[in-house]
Amino acid sequence: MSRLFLITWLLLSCLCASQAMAQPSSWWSQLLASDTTKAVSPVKLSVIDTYLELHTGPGRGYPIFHVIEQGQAVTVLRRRSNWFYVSDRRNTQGWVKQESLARTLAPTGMPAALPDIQHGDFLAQQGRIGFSVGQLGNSYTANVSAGYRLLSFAGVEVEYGQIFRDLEDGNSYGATVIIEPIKSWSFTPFISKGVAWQDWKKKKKSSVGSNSYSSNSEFTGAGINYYIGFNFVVRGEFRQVAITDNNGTTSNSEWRLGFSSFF
Amino acid sequence: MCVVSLTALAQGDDNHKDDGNVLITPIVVVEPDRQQREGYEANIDSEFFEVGFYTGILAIEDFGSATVTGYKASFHATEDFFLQANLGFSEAGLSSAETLGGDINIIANRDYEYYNLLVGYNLFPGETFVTQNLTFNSAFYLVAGAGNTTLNDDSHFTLTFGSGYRIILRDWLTVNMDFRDHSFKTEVTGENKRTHNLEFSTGLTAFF
Repeated sequence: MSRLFLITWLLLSCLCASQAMAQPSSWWSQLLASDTTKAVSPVKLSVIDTYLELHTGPGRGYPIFHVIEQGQAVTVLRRRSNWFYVSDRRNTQGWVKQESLARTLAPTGMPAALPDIQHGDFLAQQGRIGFSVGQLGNSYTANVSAGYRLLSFAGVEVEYGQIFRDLEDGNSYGATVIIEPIKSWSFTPFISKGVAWQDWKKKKKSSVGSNSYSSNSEFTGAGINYYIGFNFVVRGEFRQVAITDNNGTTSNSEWRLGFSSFF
Repeated sequence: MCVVSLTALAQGDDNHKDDGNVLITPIVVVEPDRQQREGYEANIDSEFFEVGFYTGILAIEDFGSATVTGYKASFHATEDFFLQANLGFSEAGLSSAETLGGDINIIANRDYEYYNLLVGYNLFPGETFVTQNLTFNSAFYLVAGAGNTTLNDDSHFTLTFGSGYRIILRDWLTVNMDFRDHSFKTEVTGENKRTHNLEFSTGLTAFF
């Protein structure tokens, strides 16, 4: 049970830290529940479309219960995936789809920078988290990854995973560079190059050789990303992996299926 | 006062010509220019992450049923898709072979721990009408993915799939009911077979 408490504490502190670093003023000001002005002033935009439809919930199927006419001001309060919670000047609040809200103007008269369809430029300087499962030779792999898109066409990723072999279990730590030249199609190809380090432990049923050892590997790969929505990515990847351990270097091919999302 | 208003009236009639025709000045529509944008992303409070815990019953094949507790974290990518990670803890009870064989122990370490990484799809979003006046947003979803199960100190590659139902009680609080099948190959009982371990759990998560 003490292990449960330790993990709870670690999880909560990691999440608190990451959330505080990402949005310091708005998150903490909500926590403090102050009834005076918030630390971050809410975003005010004005509608240039003929009307803006407000839905009762953030998803498909929720009905429209109110419209905001052209020229009126809306205040953006919150965002959940691709829906925004807005209120008009009479404090009627509802959910608006991101495509509708993109046709609004900031108070300065410039268009508001809310996401549009071209994922390449929009996703530059965004972080990504995800996971992938795959098959490396005869073994299965499962990995979690975190990445950062440095440029609109290139990014780096670190990953931690497990390799499931018949006679031994492995933990893998790696880093990858991904080059994705095409920025606007739904299906985009990419090439990847990376290195990884593995720690192996023999399974109970295997009694031959030393109990644990380590290895390192490098790989070259290529694959296709499929963008669903503007930030959810399904990835299919093929890698040629060369693993080097005490017995020499073996070459294997790996297929991977991954799901990740930018935020 | 009167002079000002008369002048205003006279100017307002500029659109009317003498022959009765009305000159209509077209309305200029400003199209958003793709290249120039003002960044507001950082100022809008985004809710993507959902974190919580769950508890329920896990039927471990060959080892009876046991209580399972765990933590879950979800990342909502779009209104339809989300990514979820679960970490669960349970303990394998005595199997029939062990009881009938006179209280022997087939496995030394009875801790059953698993983690999995799932992709979920909100299949049926909607509203739940609890009473005449009480309504909550809800969704029925499907999940599928893979992970690892540690039983008897060995790791097993596990496939997980299932369904769940969530009711959104408050903007930040959600209650879930989940039904999952954790499937992995194991040799613990002597033959290498694929086991299906069914889990039924309920939990609370918070959005932030």
